[in-house]
Amino acid sequence: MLQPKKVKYLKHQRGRMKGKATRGSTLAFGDFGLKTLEPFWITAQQIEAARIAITRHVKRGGKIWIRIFPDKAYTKKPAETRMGKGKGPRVGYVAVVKPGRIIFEIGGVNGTLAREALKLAAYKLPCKTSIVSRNL
Amino acid sequence: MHYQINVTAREQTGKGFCRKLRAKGLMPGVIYGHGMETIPVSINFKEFMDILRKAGETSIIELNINNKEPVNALIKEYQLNPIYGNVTHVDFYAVRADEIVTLSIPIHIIGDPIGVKQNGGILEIIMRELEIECLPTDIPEKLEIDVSQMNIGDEIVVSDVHFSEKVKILNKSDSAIALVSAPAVEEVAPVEVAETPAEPEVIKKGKETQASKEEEEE
Repeated sequence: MLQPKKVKYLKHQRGRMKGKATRGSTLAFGDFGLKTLEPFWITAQQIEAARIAITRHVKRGGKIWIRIFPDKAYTKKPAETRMGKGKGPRVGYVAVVKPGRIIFEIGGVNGTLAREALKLAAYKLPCKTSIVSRNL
Repeated sequence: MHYQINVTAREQTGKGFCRKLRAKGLMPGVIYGHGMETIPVSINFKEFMDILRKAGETSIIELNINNKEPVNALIKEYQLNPIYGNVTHVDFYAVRADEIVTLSIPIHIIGDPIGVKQNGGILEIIMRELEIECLPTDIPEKLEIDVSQMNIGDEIVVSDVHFSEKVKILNKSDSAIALVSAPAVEEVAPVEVAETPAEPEVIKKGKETQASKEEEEE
């Protein structure tokens, strides 16, 4: 699963997800992509599940690009814990995405197969998505 | 091919006005060029999309501004809505017949490589646009590259591309345009071991404080 090799701080503040994606909103590598339509935290597990869904469907040939990286640690208080006593321990990493962000790109396969694979990947993600291609 | 579009000069600018334009089926744009004043314009969205699909960014378009003397221009840049992908603004670059222009032309890949059809390789398109410099009259519409004879390990680089002497390529000569790589080895599902992923290393800065020590112990 994707996670940072080195971090400066162990825990992060949660922050807000205002606005639209200003970077990473156009296809850069492949012919088809999966674009998010909602702001969301996408966990490393969800990214991995979606990636596996794509690779299993495409089988051979084709290339996949993951355009997001989960670099934000998220924490959770253990079950049945009273409030206070500091921030809970880290339980994983998330990528913060805003509407318009391309999550996956796929190239080197025909359009039908690429769309099917991206549709399967979309089921693994928490946010609404749309499939985009290079045509205007 | 000759393309023509009617545009209207506008006096108002700003996001509020531009939003109103878009609601009416128009689109804001701007025309600029060497030795001329910048003209903010509005264009019919549907007409512009037709022109963009046909002419792309490599054909000269004749702009009729308020039925005055037409201006020859190239589509320099267009902005897209990050969510819906529709064009929200366009920049036209007015060209002069005797002035060299710099622009990117699209690369069209033709054919299926042998390495992909017979050996299961993957065709990787590294470059989709080529940057060139030439006079407006010599602009090639597109660059077609035939990859049907490529086998695994073969690549096409910029120096393999040839235009007429009037066109100068600005990309590095050894930059790859397309290559056929060996098929990726299929992933073997690892035996599931209940182990937690390695913790990321914390970048230490300055003195180690008591708080950071405590955190590490956590």
